Amino acid sequence: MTRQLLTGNAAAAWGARLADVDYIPAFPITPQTEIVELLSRWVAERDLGGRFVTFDSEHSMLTAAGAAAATGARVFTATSSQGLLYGFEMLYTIAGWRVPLVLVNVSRGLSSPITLEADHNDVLAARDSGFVQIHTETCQEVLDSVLMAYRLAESDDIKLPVIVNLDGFTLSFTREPVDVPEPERVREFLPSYEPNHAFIRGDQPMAQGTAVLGGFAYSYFRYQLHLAQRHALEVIELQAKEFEGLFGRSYGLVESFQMDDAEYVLVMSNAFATKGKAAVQRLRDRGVKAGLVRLRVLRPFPSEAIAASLAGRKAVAVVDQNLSPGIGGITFQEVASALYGANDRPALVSVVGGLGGKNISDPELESIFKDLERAASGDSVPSPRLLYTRAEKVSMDKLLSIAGKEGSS
Amino acid sequence: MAAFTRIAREAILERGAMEHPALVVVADETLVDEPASAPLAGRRDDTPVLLNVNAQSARQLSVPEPVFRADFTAMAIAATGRLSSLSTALAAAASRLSGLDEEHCRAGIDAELAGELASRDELESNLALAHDVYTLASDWTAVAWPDDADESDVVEADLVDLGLEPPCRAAPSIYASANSPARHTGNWRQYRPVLEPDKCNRCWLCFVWCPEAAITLDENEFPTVDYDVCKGCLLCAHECPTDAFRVERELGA
Ligand code: SF4
Ligand code: SF4
Repeated sequence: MTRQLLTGNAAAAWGARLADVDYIPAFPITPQTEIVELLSRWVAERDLGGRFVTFDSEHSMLTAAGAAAATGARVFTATSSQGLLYGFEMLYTIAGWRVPLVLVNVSRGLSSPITLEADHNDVLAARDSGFVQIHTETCQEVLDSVLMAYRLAESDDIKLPVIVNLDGFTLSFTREPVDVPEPERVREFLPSYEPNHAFIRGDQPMAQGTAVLGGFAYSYFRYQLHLAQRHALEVIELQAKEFEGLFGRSYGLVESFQMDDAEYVLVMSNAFATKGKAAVQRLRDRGVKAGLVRLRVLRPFPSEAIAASLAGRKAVAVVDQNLSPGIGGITFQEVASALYGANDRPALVSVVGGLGGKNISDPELESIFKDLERAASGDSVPSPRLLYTRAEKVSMDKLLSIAGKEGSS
Repeated sequence: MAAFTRIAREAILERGAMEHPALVVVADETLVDEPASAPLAGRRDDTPVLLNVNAQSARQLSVPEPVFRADFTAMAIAATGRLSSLSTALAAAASRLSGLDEEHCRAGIDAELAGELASRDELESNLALAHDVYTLASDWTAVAWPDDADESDVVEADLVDLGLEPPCRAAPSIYASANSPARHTGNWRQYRPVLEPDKCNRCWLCFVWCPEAAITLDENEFPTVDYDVCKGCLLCAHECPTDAFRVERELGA
């Protein structure tokens, strides 16, 4: 094991390198490009075997990724934001083929207006595709999750593609100390891929991804995809235990922080969960029983684990760094539905913040806890609560007036 | 957008924007007064600023002390012949101010650049540059690392509810007759497009092509260039089917 100072992007590339991938179809996009740049260099310098191929678009790239996985190769690819959307059709298609591959998405807000920094509308748009989704908080977790993603994707009773998500800028371009495990140790956890259901072999020709007509066949295949996702909940936990045994780092479906006796709880995901933890710590220092649940696996959605950890709390705020126009925060809806059947439901608050990489500031996190106290005592709280400050509104009005827009509210 | 490094012995529970920097490094002094960059945001009264200044320029910046100034660009070019070595110079100065020993700074430069540079000589010239900076900065006082214990005073944010506004405001469009009316990109111009009206057939192609929206049409539908914002890309001259734009060397933008 060596300890290196790696960006989230470099950690993702190291995950692919340690997984000893066979095939890397690539297309650049900010803030992901560093991943494929590193991999292309390693392939050129023979640090990594396998083929590195550039494509004309993310749609072609993902098509090649899925097709290569269907031949039995271990495939890694990466994209972000508009790129993920450009390849969108293929996400559903590849998942339907039931072929394992790992796609790293570096989250970036979607157009329009076009922007560069992180929010999760890109990756969450893919939540119904059939890809498993693992969302990461630290650079170490990025590397570890790529390894765990391959192990899961290739499991005999799973065979699903996996997206590992990391936040653009806040993680992709942030360097942290990362333990890079020895390849031999990785091999213990992740042996080479022995395809047994999708491959090319001269003595066993097959057709994959066949067309079906008549809903009964279609229903069967699609529902199997759902059942495989639900089954993955168990498999992820078992494999995480094994990973912990080998590497000493533990990852679950969700992460609980200061949750033992917590009354006021933040539900967050990805890199800004770290800031949520700092806020919890500040409140604890003041004697408030605060806690945080970090959503790590978003598909399959760990409804039972979430309901179990949130039931009985006084109030829970689900902080979404995404926005579904017309309803609000996306994970809020899912957490609320997980809690619907639970006894002793907490007051539930929806918060939307950090859109387009806007900082979720310490004062904003304080405000959320104030809302939680209000909600716990039965007062109403705006839903969703948008994290947007008066100073930001003043700056926005100024920008609009420079842009020649009349009026101000 | 900014780059940053956080150094601590304990776990760092902070992400993204740095709210209270212990040291601010400004690689380009012209950014100091630039509201969009605001490199000094979050600076407390005693936060030191490391400022890369142009020794040739008469510009006088009023940055309150403590400020450490040097022409790192000139040092970098003198040592390595490359502008890109400015990063090395600034990293060395920041290391010095952070209290890192020169040998640790050298090890860092070695680790960062060994795989990037074409030759050992280039690496050596970067290490020599770092040494020059350490020598220059030998009497600078290292940064006093702030004690973060006063974080419990974080107060609630002043949040506002956004109300519904009409699409003419709420769509990301710019009605001002220039993409960046508050920034006079006119001084970027090396060449000036000058209309010769008798050649113009009023096809408006220049108006459509101008990426800066610097061209408006007058009451007779002739194009008029706003030289405050025209950045001199010459797309208009290139696209004009009748060569109605004369291109002049810019002398006074
Ligand atoms: S040179 Fe022509 S096209 Fe370019 S900014 Fe100026 S007016 Fe517009
Ligand atoms: S493109 Fe040339 S001819 Fe057409 S309006 Fe502009 S200056 Fe006149």
